[in-house]
Amino acid sequence: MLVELITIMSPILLCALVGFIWEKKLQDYPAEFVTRIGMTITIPCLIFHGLISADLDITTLKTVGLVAIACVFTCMAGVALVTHFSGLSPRRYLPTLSFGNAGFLGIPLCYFAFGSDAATLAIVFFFVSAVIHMTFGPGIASGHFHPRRLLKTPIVMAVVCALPFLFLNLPSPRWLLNTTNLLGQAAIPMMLMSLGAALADFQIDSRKRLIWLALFRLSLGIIVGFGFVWAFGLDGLIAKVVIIEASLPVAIMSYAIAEQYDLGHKEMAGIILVTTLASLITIPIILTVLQMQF
Amino acid sequence: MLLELLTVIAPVFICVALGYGWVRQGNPFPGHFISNMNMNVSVPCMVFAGLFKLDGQWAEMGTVIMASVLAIAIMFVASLLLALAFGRLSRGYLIALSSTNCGNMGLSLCLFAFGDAGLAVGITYFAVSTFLFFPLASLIAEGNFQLSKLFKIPIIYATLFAGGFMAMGVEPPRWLANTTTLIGGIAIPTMLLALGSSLAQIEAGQSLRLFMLSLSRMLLGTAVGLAVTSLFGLTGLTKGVIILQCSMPIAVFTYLLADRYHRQPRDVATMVMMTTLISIGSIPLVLAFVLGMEG
Repeated sequence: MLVELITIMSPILLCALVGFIWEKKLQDYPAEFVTRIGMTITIPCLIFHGLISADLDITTLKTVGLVAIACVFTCMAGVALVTHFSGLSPRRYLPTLSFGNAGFLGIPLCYFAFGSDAATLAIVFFFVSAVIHMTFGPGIASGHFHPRRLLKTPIVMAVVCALPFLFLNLPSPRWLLNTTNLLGQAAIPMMLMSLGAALADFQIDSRKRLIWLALFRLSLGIIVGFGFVWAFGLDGLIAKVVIIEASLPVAIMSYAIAEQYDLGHKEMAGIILVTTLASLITIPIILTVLQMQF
Repeated sequence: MLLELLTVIAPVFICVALGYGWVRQGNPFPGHFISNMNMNVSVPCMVFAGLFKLDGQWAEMGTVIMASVLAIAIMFVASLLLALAFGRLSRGYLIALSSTNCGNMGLSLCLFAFGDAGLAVGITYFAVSTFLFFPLASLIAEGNFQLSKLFKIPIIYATLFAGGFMAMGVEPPRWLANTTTLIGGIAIPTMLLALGSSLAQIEAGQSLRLFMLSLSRMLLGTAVGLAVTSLFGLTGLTKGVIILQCSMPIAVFTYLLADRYHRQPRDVATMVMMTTLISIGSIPLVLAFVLGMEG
């Protein structure tokens, strides 16, 4: 089991470590460029390739999509409840604290733990979470919603382009598969390096509240994940992917939103750091439970 | 056949075009960071992970290495003669003409034409080229080369490390294979994007003479590949990969060297651009030949 855990975790940790060391030593990690090329080229390619090369039936993909919607909105509701009763600002925490790192941690975790079908399901979960994050995140933070602008983002366009292949069973041309595969495989390692580089740069505002919020967020995700798997009677691969995806630390994109809309980005950096470090303990435990239980 | 060619070529030229368009659109491209990251981290990872996908080709390994060494040596001498024939024998011309873009462009073509085993053979050629040609080109451009520099190239260590595992007949532990595969995935796409972005930035001139030289150089490359592979009696995949690698256009790093040490950078830039443009037409022909020969 220990060897198994090392096999699953070390690629992700070492990749983030490369970014961390790079930024600590050279301080020239171009995070903005990596995010930009990720959002416009490599991540759309990853999503498109994942969806059209999948060996899974549409029902499975739809189920994961629906459960992902349920998980993300439940997490938002949980955060809203806590901010309501504790008097914290919902505008500050709702768009940031509710979202997990379903992409750059979730996809490789599912891939190394459960194989490429699991990675495809993780891509679906990530897509749902990212779209909700991109719609509601800046929307709640700024008070303005731009659903039409969302349609033009390359990530959404990638899914729109993949739909005909999925639903009409069109044969996917190999040149397109090869191209999107080549570009898509750069997405995850580059974003993991960005995660490491960002952690190296974070200025942390150390207040006790931050630790509590971090622990609350992590346990909320775990409860929501297990809760929906139980409530919907999910099992097998879907259950594993949903639980992993729901229990991840806070997304790095939340930091970008907090910074852009001046919502206490130092505290958010601390929350991301604490949840990410804590996930070094929770993820191996969850993986072990999943190995035994499902 | 046409569709098969498209399957192999499209990823390469689409990536290069994306890099070109990215820069032309006015987006920043941190070329220095990308090349640093690739040379020090992701390419060594790709080399390490890729060499283990060589299953079944172990026996031919030694032959591939010798063929690569010979191809690179002949290419060097032939380029010297070619430059002499055009009355342009100088450092910049020599390193440019004798280089092949066997890294980004060559490796992705090997991968899509021949699969993982093709990539592994392509990586072997690339590693030999890094070991031999890269120091030689630096020596010619700079005027001196400290041997100690050779031991600062991480790709060399990745190759030796992989060689160590192979010599012992041991598979690397899965965590190491997974990690190097994940990080190595960055290498080819970003190198192709970087190639496109360099093409968008270099100032190429127009000259009929340089065009003729570029054309001759492309023919020469394929000829060297054919000669070496038949000399060693190579067949199938290994033959195809070596011919492909020899048929690549001039490598962009020779422009960087020429620029840094003032060795006719403008002419080298023009030749990089011209051979790359010629390759859009010549690579399909070479590929049709090597794939047809195999099937």
